[in-house]
Amino acid sequence: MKTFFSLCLLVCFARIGAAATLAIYPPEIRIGPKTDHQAVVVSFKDEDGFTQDVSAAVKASFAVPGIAEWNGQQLRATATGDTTLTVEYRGQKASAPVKALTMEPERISYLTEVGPVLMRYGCNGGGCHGASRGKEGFRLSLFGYDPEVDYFRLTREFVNRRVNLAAPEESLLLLKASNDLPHGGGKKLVPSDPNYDLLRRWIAAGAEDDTSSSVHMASVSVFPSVLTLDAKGQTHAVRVIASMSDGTRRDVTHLSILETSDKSVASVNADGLITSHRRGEAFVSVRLPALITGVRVDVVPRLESPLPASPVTFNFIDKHVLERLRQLRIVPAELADDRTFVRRVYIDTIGLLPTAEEVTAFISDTSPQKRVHLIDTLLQRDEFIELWTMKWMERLQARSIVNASAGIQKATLKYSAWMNRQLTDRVPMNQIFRNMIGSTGTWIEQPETNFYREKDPKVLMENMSQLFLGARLQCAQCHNHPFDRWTQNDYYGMAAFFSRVGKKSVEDMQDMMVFENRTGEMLHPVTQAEMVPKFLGGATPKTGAMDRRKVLADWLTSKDNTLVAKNLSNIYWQHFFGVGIIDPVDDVRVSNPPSNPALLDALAKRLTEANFDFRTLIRDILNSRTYQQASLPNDTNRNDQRNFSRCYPRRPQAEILLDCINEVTGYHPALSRLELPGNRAVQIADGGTTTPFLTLFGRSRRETPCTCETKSAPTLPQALHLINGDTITSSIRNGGQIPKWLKRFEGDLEKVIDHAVLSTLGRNPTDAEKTAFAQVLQTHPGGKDAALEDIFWTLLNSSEFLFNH
Amino acid sequence: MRRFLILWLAMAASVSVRAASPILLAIEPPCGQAGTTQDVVLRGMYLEDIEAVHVHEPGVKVTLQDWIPAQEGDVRLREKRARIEIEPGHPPGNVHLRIRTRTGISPPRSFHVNRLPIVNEIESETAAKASAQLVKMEHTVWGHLRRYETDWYRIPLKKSQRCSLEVLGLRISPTYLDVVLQIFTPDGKLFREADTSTLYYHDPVCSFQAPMDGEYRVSLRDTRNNFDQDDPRYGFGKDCMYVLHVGNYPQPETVWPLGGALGETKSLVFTGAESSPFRQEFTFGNRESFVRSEPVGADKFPWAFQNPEAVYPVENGVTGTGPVFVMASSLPAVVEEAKHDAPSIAQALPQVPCAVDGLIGRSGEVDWYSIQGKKGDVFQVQVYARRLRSKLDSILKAVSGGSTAENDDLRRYTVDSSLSIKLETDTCLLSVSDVRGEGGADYAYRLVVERPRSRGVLTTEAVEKQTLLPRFRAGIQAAVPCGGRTLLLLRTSEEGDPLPAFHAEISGLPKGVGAEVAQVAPRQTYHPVVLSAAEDAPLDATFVTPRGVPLNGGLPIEFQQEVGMVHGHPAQTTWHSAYFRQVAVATVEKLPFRVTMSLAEPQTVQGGKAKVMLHVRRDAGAAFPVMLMFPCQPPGGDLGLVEVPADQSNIEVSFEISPNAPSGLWPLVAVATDTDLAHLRDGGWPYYDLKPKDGKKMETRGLNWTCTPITYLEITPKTADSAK
Repeated sequence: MKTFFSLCLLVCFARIGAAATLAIYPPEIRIGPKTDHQAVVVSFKDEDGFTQDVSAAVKASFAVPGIAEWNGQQLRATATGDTTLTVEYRGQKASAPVKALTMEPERISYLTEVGPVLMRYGCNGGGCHGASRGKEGFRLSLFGYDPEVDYFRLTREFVNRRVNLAAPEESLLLLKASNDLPHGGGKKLVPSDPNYDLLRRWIAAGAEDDTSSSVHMASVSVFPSVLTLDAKGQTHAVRVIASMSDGTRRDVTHLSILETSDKSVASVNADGLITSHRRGEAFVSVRLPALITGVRVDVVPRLESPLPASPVTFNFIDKHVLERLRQLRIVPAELADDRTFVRRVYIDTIGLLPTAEEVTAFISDTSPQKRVHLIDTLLQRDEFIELWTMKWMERLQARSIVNASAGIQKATLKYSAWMNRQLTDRVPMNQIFRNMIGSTGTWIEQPETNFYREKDPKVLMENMSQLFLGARLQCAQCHNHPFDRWTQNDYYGMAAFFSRVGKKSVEDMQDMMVFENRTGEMLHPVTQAEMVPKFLGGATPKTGAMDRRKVLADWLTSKDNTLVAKNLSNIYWQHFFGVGIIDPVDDVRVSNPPSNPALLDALAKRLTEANFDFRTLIRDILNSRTYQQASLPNDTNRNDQRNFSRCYPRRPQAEILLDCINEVTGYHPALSRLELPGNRAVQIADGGTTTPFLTLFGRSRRETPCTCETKSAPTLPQALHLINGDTITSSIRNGGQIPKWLKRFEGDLEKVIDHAVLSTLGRNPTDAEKTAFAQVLQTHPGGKDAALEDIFWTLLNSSEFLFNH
Repeated sequence: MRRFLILWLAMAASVSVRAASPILLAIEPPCGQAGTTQDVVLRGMYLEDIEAVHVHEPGVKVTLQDWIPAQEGDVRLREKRARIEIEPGHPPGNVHLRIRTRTGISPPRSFHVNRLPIVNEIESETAAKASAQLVKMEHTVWGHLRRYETDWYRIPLKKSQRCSLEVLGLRISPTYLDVVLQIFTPDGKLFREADTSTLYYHDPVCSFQAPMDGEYRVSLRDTRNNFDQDDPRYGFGKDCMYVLHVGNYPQPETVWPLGGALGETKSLVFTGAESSPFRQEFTFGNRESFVRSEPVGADKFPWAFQNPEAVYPVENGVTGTGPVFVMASSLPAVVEEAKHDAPSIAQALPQVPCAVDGLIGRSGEVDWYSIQGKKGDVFQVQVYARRLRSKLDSILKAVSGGSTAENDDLRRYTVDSSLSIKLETDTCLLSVSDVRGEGGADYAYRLVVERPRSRGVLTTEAVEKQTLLPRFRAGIQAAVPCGGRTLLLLRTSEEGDPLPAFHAEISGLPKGVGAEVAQVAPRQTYHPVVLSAAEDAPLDATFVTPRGVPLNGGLPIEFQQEVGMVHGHPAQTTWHSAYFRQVAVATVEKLPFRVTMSLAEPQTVQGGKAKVMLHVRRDAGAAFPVMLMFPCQPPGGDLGLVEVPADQSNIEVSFEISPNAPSGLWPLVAVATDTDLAHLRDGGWPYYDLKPKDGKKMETRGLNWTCTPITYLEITPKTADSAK
């Protein structure tokens, strides 16, 4: 703890206190060779951290005059040559190099201009001509994944109809887009629109086919990429710059699709002008074919009075969380009291309630280190391992299938036991993943090979990516991912790592052999080319005769590869907060950025430094002030759901809730398919079994690796079951806790009630509750035993019991 | 409750005219020490009229004792004490017992014989780790494993002392049991875990040297915690039994070489993790271990492979509890050369046929061989590895001329490889490797290269398939009613070239029993044998030996029978089988009915219809329906279950003859029972369902079977006239 306090950081919220800065976007300006101008944004960041678009207000000058002119929005070239633009605003200066290139004859590209226009206006979307059967006889590849075919359909399928070279304005492409001919998609363009003109000029120039050209957009950037706006309708422009594969850069704002994640916080128009509306966070995504980037927009109020001093940080986690809260002008919640903390940490860490005795012992402990000690104790419990075994087995789809070989059950149990052993033995998580991906042998003898239950290498790759990287690549199987940067090439390049996975039956019909075949290739569905294994977003390794899966496993689990560490950190974080830093945790994509990138990076770094020992990271999380915050909101964090400014109350997942009910009532109905003798729902190793309670409360069916399989959202049927169903009622009666407590406390009803409240809620009853309970005891027509049962029932049906808070 | 039980017994007795088809569910203890007398309890159903226990193997004698009073529950479940005398020096292994009653003979049940003294499990001690039951070295303990039960034992050991453990779970338990064995050091740490083993499949073995002095805790539990134990289809929980051998005996994991010639004496080398390699002289038997390369049973469950020759390792005068396996072959043996891991240095096999003893000694190794022949020659090549419990999961590859053939598995669930190759040149290269690219001292194999030949055996076929309980189907054993008949349906199980034409013989029948072997057309699969007993035949049982005598004077065709010993989830899968070379035949009491069959027309043309008249003669005063089935109809025949109602004696049925049916005489036999088979088909599980369903009284009779005499239908060729 000394270490923690030595790291303490006091941050004054009164003013952000950072120095004001001025920036020119794009930071390097090129004009030409295709256009004679370049839009430029000048952004000023004031001392409070707010960004303002001051393009029209700056004083501009050039180091070499006569090359370009500045009109407050764009630079127009007047000659070729190099110069430097310098702008000045409120005493701040910023400069950017300007290169004006020689203009070339106009040559409009289908690949980098016409295609993006079709995508920008939704022509090749799934609801329009990108549908599998197209629309009204005109079919395009979804999101333009196959430009060659699209070009053919546009220009050759019906010659001189969709594209009329002789009379460009008579082309169906333009007549339909402008709704001059009836168009199911409505009016998309008007002749005055630059993109209408772009299409017209492309047709007029002969509708050149450059689909086989190697010049394409290699990457895209948006400037500025982070904005902090106040909540008073402030506007700020952004520019989208594409880096072409030939080394040139172009402003492609007019070709991009700009969409906001939350219109009520910030909206964006087609020209890249962002407008703030209310307090909150939004992400403005910028999409081009196979490319995506975005702008993070924080909309926060300007403070009229200073915020209170920030609380003490307990460890590095708090530093990053508080920094983010400071940016958002959010005051974090108070520290939770001991009773709240002990209940919360028990449920989260071992999936059980603390007993009344454990609560009492913790409360009466006067050690300043008692929370640290308790966390350490809980992390050593078998239940901690069992809980995480269950969570991993959910994602790994460990289940037997009804009517399938009985042996699937055995393999499933072996798989679960194997994971339990790995976690118990503190095998680093990256090593566990490596062992699974590169595994060879039979399901029963090498349980990690159960990872290869799935046969289809594409699905294997999808599962692996979703599980270990948090990336959902399914979309890219059929077309380039619309909301992420992954293309079909990326998809099939990754799938090629699994193209040689062999499976065959062995003598034991309950078992299956997994091995690496010597041959087997993954074909691209469009080009039919044999795909070379390629890491997702990474290099193309030389696999040769090596087991491709092991090559992938080495890359994936290398300490240099931060993807797995981030993904794991996010998963662990989400368990203890109910919300991931990226949420959902298995939907990592450009358009779903982390709410606190610095925090995620720090957690990943910590996990990597700890050699992927998940206990270490969880210990840090639990010891952070952020985790130990109260759930009671204040005025500034009432609406916060993503920045961890307080504890978000959450219903424990089905198994944990059932275990808590069974534990507190003392009733343990038989459960089936447990790997080890025991009777806790968390221990059910086989996802192929369930109970009505577990199903109702959203137990994962383990049919996919998606986190959405586990449902923790409260529903009306759940509430009705708790009230009218037999789970709580029968547990109270069959568990026999009331008679035991009556005997233990020698009939002292007040003590029995105190004990019941302590056992269920982790606290003593309030005075108001005591009064109400006393009244029930006196007036209950069924007598004192029935009254006690009803009180117990009430406690178990209370939100305070049903939620971890 | 007692009154209720008496009433129930009375009700049962009123319908249980005959308690045929006895079932021996369990023998407790399931094991005995050679040279001792072991008192056991025989638990089963339909045992009321028990007469004797017959043992397949010599050297074991069973004497019946008194009844154990019936417990509350199903009246059909009975327990009888018995005494099993095992001759001194009796070879270790399982023997197989059958109960004979006055009305039937049971399927077999295994009883394990070994050299170690037997200790019973003490449930109160094995229930917890802390109170683990003490087991001394050189002892065998047996016990039960029930749902979610873990049995705990403790074994005192000195540092460096070797301790070998072998579990018989599935090999001895009447119901599915898949034991996992864990060993904990005296300081409580998990030291070893053994589950599936290369040698004994489901049953674990383990041998270790104690790293410290103290008491080692050993736990046993079912890997699935006996999920299915409460499912009446799969048996009673209390029948899940295991045997655990504990001692300082050799527990080799592999043997080299894996085979030898018939009658040959070879020096075998045993290797194991906890023993230095040691040698042992072994003389191979005079019968080929693998008459067929695949199981003969209908289930074709791989672990039911006919057991090759079992060799019990002896190290320094101490015999291991479990065997390793080798194969005897009529082919000359060739030993692989030191280096032949590339096509260019392929080892030339000096002669074909031959059997090569090889080893994939290291990871990634590929063994290459070459054979000489003539273009067009056909060879059959097989790898025997997993069938001999080697770890090798082979891939067999053949290259001849420009052609390459490769085989991984013989078929599903059979991981050994096989190829039939036709030479494109005078040479063929063969390679053997492991599918996972693994290798080591326990990756031995036998590569058999031979000319194609007929390989086949005679076996039995169930004569009815109406009940859902395969292990109790009629035909696995035969009960011949005095003055009546029963059908033993022999079937050929062949591979490679067709078997020569033969006629079936059967020898060793009980006194007063005769056999009529049907005449069948050449190349037919089924060979019906109708056994008939004289009215005054004494009630007895023998193990009879069917065989096929080739008409060309060749070697006799052997009989092999695979009997499922443990069935379980799903769908009555056979999880463990035993192989027999004889079939049990018993004479039983006279049945109250007889059936005969006559043909409306003795001839039927191919593609035509045959009309059959069935006649039932019941004893005076008897009135019950009779169910008939036709297990060996000619091709195209689709006759299912036929019921002759209680008030009828004759019924006419017809069936179609396929246009492709062979012309000539076709033997027809109908089997019959007076038990309501429809009830069995409709989900009743008469052997296990203990409680009445929906208030209906359950059928409490066993199955009585008889059959008609053989009637021959002449199938005539289809001519232009007949087509009109």
